[in-house]
Amino acid sequence: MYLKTQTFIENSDLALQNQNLQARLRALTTRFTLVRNNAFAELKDGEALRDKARAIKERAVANLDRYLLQLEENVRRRGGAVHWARTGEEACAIILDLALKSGVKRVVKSKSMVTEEIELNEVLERAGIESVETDLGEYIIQLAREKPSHIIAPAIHKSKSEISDLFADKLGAVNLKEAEEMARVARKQLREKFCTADMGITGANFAVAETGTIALVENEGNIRLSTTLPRIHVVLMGIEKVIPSLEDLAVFLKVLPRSATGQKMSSYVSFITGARRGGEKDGAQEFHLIILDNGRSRILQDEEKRESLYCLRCGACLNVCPVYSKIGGHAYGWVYSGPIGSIITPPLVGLDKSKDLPYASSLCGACREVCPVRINIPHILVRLRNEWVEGGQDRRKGPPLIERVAMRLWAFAMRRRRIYNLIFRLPALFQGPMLKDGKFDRLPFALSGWTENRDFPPLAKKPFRSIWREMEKQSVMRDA
Amino acid sequence: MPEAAREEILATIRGALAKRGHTVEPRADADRRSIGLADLEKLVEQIQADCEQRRNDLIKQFETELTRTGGKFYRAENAQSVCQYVKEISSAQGARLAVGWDSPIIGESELIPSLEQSGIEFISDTERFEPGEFIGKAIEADIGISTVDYALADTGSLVVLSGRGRARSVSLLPPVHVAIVKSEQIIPGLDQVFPLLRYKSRISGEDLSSAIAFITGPSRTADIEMTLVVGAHGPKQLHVILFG
Repeated sequence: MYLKTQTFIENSDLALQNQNLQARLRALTTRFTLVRNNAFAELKDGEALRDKARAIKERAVANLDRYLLQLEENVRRRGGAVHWARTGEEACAIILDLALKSGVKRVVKSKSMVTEEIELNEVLERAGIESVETDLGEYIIQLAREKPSHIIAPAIHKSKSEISDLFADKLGAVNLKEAEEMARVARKQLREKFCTADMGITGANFAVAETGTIALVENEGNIRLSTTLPRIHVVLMGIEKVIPSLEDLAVFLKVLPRSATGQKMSSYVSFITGARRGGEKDGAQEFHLIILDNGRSRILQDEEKRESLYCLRCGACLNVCPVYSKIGGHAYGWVYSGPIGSIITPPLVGLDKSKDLPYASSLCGACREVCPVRINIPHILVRLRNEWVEGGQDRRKGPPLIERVAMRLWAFAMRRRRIYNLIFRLPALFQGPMLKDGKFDRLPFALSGWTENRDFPPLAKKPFRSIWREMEKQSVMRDA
Repeated sequence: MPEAAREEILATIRGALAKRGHTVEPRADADRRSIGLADLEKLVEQIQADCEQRRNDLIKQFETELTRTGGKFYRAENAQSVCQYVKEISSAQGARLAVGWDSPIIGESELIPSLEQSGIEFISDTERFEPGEFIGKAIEADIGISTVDYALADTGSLVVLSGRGRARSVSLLPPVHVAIVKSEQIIPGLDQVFPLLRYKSRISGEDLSSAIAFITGPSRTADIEMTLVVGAHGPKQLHVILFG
């Protein structure tokens, strides 16, 4: 399984040194945040909409079993098949089995984080089935054999010239300079795949329980093509994607495109209910829905973490995050990056393997401010840190003994004024020789980590409380 | 074996939710199929009355929004105008082949004879063609011509329902999509379209169409260095002709 969360610190260091990546991230995050803000400013009831969106998700998740059963009933009623998968492996096995039984040689896929999560392409490829990513960004990273670095724009870490080189190398399309030329080449390549594919695999932005309808949001048209031309349509969705009714879509379709790309509406929204019906010349002839758990029920169990299941995968939190905008998606080491990645990755892959992620935050709260369903990400980050420190379910994990002892001593000292004062006055007397240009460029001993990337200010010659006392004395004397 | 997965997942979910401190009840009207037809009819009447009253404003708003997304808007007073516009669009493309829905509105606009006169072959989604044949034509076609079910004014979107004679490929495969809209099809937006779809389904006794698409402008992508490219996998051009 692809997992690089354990080397998060090293990943981040590499990312920070990558000047091309820094430029790409700056462009991405400033642009997306700007257009998102403009799009919401245009709405006269943007805040009320976000409340509504959250309320719908709250209700849906709080009654998840009921709505999943209703969804299953309605998909079946419309002639579709419904499969349930506890793990990623189970889901891959179901899809592979389906493909092999139906003689599928070629698959076209839309951008779907959940299919990345279960590493579906690798399973299909190993079985000799060609699985082609059709979203332009995903197509690019598939050619480059890389992982997506952003939920909405998977190839955004790549520069135009890198993509041009890639197309020359893998497609024999040389001398492409402009984005338009590259898009045209991709269109031609992929059109052939759409027309000859046996199966189209998509995710689901929303699954409407009352009608068995899958809603899919896109700009390129690759989802429409993947669900129109191949004879089999497979939808893979996490359990948390189900919503109660059609009208709920109105709320989500107002906040999702605005949050993701600053658009009032994306170019295409498809509402697929089962396979084609009598008399239709196109559309899939077979429809399959796979409902996947893969650890989401674990998140559901924890009432404080439960709201992370409301996520619409819009990417807005990535775009405003000061950490993401410096290190990019790959540094997080798994499929989901940014603030949302930091809160769902630990429960899904294990906190012991991803302990750095909850700490990759200044808790500024910018993510919470932009989340269309108002997930309290900072709160969950702190919760995860607490779990790590307390050792979680397995008390052997967690910080080393020396750190825990040091924290206890620190807490002891901080609660006692005289000790606090002493701790900060004594070093002030001796710091002189340690300063360079009036600052600590290197703190001693275990504190040196603090000065690896910045200088530490010196302790004040006179603490503020002394200055305050003097000022008060002077004003009393003046008034007397 | 597959049953085991289903049971286990549902059991885990139920167990997880049973612990909850406060309950969030499903809406009483959550099962919308139970909404009284009378209430739905009243709502639909209100929507239709409102649309009639604000017809010109809705048209203007639709035109503004459509244009904002890169679509082109034309106002046709009569069938000749429709044909004239389509002729202009076709010749700008050097079009030789068009595919289209089998629609009475297309018949009303007398497009087919007009196109044929201009030397453009028009393949209509009728029983004459096997699915494979029709799709083959759609793949080669220069233009796809459809009508719509609704048009959303606040986002400039078209709403198309798939069905017999209304192939999805028509508004998807050819590089140019021409949509003919009637002014009474223009509604305010998302808040109206879902009740209307529900109503349509209820009175026809048929379920929702197997594929509904909201189309907002031509296809696009910004995946390469955030540079906007209009025309990705779907049509590169969207032309909307308001006919009557």
